[in-house]
Amino acid sequence: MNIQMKKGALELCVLALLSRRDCYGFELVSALAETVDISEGTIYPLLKRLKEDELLTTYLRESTEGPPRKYYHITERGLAAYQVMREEWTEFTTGVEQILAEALGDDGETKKGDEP
Amino acid sequence: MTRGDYLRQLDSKLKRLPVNKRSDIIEDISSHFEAGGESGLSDDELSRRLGAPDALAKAYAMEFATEQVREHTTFGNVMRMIWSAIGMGLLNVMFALPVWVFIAGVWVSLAVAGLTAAGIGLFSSIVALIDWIHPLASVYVPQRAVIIFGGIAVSSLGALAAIASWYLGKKLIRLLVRFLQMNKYIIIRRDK
Repeated sequence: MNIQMKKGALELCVLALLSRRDCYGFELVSALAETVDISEGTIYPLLKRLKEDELLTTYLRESTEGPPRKYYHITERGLAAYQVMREEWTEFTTGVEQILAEALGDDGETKKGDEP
Repeated sequence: MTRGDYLRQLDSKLKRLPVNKRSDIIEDISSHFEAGGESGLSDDELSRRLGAPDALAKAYAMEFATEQVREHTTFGNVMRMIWSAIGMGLLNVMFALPVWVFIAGVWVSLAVAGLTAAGIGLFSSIVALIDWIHPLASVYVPQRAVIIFGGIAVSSLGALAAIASWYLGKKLIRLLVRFLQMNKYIIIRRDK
């Protein structure tokens, strides 16, 4: 998949995951890299920017194994941004899906017409 | 690559960032290795998944440059942002550079022309005014009234052009920043 398309989706996915619960870096990164198929490093600078933009905050929590972990928490502002982005995303993908479905339908018709 | 090597390489590529940002980044990536290790992944595997330290450093540098420009839109910061975009190999930015240089040229000429006109107009009207109040022996001022009022008119127009170019410049810089942000894809391809 085109790398530009992934970038837009990535931000939305980070916010979506965090809207459900707080996560620590590795947890978030490995969940995303697996599904979006990008290098895991990419997500850290993004997290930094989201924090600068005050869409996320961070805090430290003790871990049962090893040193305390930095958790990411979505802010009110982050939630609001997430709602907007999700709506835009849905609108966009619905439009694309519709065009794809129509194109597929046309293909079917052409094949039927060609058959006799 | 061991986590030590990875972090060392990353750190050496982050030299341009302030120390506190740098140590923040190293801490983040180091705890990524920590947590990854706890879930049973080897340093090699984790390094591979993170992507090359060089690419990661560039992505961070770009984020930092963008942030700097948004906080303080100074000439130096904009230049650093452009530089860091070029460093990331953003071809779009490189191809668009001549266009931006041209726009900047037009803008600078407007500003310079405005300032020059304002200066010359102001100077000549002041000279003519002084000559009117207290005739200057060494300077011959023909058509005093024309020069006084003409000078005032030219200098006001020049000042207006200079003010307009000031605002235009601010708009252009905002546009440039938006353009750079649009083009920076911080995504690094994943090694298969």
